[in-house]
Amino acid sequence: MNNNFYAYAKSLIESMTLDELEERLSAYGIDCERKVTLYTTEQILNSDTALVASSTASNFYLEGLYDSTSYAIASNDNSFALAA
Amino acid sequence: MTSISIEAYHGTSGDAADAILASSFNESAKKHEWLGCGIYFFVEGVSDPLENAKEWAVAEARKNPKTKKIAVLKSVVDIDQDRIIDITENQGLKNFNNFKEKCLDKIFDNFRIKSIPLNHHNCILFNFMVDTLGAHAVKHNLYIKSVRERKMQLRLNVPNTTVLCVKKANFNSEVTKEYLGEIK
Repeated sequence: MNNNFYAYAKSLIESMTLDELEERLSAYGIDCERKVTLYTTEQILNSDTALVASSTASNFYLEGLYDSTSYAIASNDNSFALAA
Repeated sequence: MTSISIEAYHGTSGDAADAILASSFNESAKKHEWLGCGIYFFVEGVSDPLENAKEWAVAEARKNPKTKKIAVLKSVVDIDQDRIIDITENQGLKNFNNFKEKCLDKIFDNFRIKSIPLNHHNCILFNFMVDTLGAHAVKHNLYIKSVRERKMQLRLNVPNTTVLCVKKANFNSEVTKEYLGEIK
């Protein structure tokens, strides 16, 4: 695997969305499920940011206070859920 | 695109060799293939690829009492050097492992994986890499039991062959019969 090929490979995996990755894993018979990140009320209240759902869980982030009554937030690839 | 030519040898039974010459290779596609799905050859590297192919053909023939003849087919495979996962040298191995780690980082951070049979892991890894990256071939040093080691029921792990696995879609080279022998 020469350096040109590696550079291409690296950029490809970095830009791959979780939906694409999940689809590929399934295609090879890999049974997988998404991990869910739970945030406590304290974590949310201590943050100056509100929730923003992004395209991947890995860059899911908080931006401004979204809902102070939230108990926990479950993030997923293209969505987020609030539990009171 | 810079293409490289690799002399490659495929050991099989006499009948299978005739069938391949009459039509073409079938892709090996079991779930435990060493380097993923593809057409397998021995190539120059750790040892003599023609001898490796003979040895492999004999070892496989011994599993089937009906096989009386073995053959080695030769081909010169042309591969785009930016599309071969060559992990026979240190730089290739470093790049391969760095890429594998990046994949595993992303998978581990975001997914829970259920158990996969142990002997499928390598095949899945190479199939994933080859298909995802659009690679045409994988080249790697592997340990393959010789006939004697099979008889002695040895299970070692020091690579003793260099193997090239080519995706069927990227194989369009001429094939000739290099050797024909009988099983004693």
